[in-house]
Amino acid sequence: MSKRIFIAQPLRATLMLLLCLALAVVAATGGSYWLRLASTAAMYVVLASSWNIVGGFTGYPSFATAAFFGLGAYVAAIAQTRGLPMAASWVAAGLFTAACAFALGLALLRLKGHYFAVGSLVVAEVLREIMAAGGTLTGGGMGLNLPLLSMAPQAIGRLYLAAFAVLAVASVLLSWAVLRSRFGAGLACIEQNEDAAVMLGVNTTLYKSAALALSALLAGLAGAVYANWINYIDPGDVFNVLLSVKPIVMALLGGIGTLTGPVIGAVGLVGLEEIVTRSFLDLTGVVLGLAVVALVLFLPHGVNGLAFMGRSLKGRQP
Amino acid sequence: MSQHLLQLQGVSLSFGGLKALDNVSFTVRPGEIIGLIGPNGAGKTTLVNACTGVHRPSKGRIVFEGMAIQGLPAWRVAHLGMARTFQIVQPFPRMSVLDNVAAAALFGGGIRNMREAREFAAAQLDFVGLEDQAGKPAATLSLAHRKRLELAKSLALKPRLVWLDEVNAGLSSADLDNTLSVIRRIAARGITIVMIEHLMKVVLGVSTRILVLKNGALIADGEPAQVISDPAVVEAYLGAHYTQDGERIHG
Repeated sequence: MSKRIFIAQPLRATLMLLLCLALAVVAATGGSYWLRLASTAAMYVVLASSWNIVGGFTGYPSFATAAFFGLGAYVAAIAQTRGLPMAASWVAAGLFTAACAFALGLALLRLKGHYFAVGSLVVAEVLREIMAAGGTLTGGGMGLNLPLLSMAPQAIGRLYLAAFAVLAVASVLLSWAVLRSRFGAGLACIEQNEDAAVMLGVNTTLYKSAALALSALLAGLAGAVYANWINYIDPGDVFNVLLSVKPIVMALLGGIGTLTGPVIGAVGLVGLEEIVTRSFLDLTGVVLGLAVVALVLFLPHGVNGLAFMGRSLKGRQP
Repeated sequence: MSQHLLQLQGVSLSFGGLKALDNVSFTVRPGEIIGLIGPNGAGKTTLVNACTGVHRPSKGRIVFEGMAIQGLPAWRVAHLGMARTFQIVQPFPRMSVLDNVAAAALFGGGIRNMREAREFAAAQLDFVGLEDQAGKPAATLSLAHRKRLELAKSLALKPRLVWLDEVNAGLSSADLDNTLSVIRRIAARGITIVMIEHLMKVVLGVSTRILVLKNGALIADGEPAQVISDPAVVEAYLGAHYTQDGERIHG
């Protein structure tokens, strides 16, 4: 519907292909450092795309990504301690998280703007408390250990990278499908003017909740794979507020509401984190914070907006 | 089909202690162009909101094409064939003008295919005279054009009844004539119109019937000439001062 995608199509497509190629090279030849880095980047792509569906396409600034991520991780972990196979537990985690998000959305998405942001922030905190008080089911504050795979460490690393990579590609394809669909058009209407959307016949309650459910599906799946990847989860780790903040930063970095923005932002943030953490370990938070401020001030449309700016400076051509 | 397109039976709506609509009853027959007038705060827009599902009436029945619609959500009412324009225009600012209208066709209009929705939207833009603005973002339109965009959007819902909430407010007289001709052509398409309007020239020039609201209650319902000379209406609407001076009303 709307002209959200700024960078020229061939450039974007080439960039995405290069990233896929880099991912494949790392998966085939990389050592454990590169495997970890690539897995993190792919997981971030999933989280940023997840946030983008509700925060970008729908215009609801969600801080609930950590809630869905953590819920997915816990559902997968609990399912596996009860004997469910790993892959089945991931699917169950994704679906359960999406269903919870849909129900939650019916209530929470009545709030708008800052009110919604604060409301969504609380969800992860509540879930964190519940899991910490969950006794033997959730392992309480001690967390849960997940079964180890009996494979060589490198092979395990490759397996999880592959899982995250599949999720990342699926996230982008899902976002693409949403953008092209009637559903996506409805979300765009909600994002730009919700009152008008209602009057034109958009079932906004349903659409917003469905968007939150899709977002939660991706975040829940990412959390489930993460639980197995790290082998151990505890409430403080998987409900960490940074898991809600970073996806927003990534979407900002790449371009909110665009298809490729979350991908560019995720890869960018992983790179930035590596450089910053290596050079100024004590100042990581400060530098990342300054980066966010600079982004909002100077690049409101993200990296994707750069090409757009260049074009509009040259002249007002469509 | 009954001869009533829309029927309100004792509709009341309160906001806390304030009675915004007080036992309002009237019927709208197919093909009418009804002028809904009344002083500021009389409840005209609230009446539109009650009928289109934005507010739920606290009492009474609203029947549209034989179906009770009070309490239905607004998006459902849009699918049933009742459209409205907003007094304060409500475009999707960063979408093209064409896509603004296509969105209406895609949802309330029931055209589920994007390409067909755009084609239908283009025809509506033609109808209101905005075809040369189709590719622009809606935010760049002038007020007069935005008002016509509202009209095109409501037409894309394929309505049988449209509420026009002050589509003429703030327009220059050239734009006014333009909008008036569009309103007449909407009526000619067989779409029933209820228009909220402050400009008496418009109300008397277009309406086949006039409803007058005062403090949430309907105080008159009838032919324009008859309503406008009703002393109660003149007093409510213009103040007792004008009751002896029919000419000033037309000015």
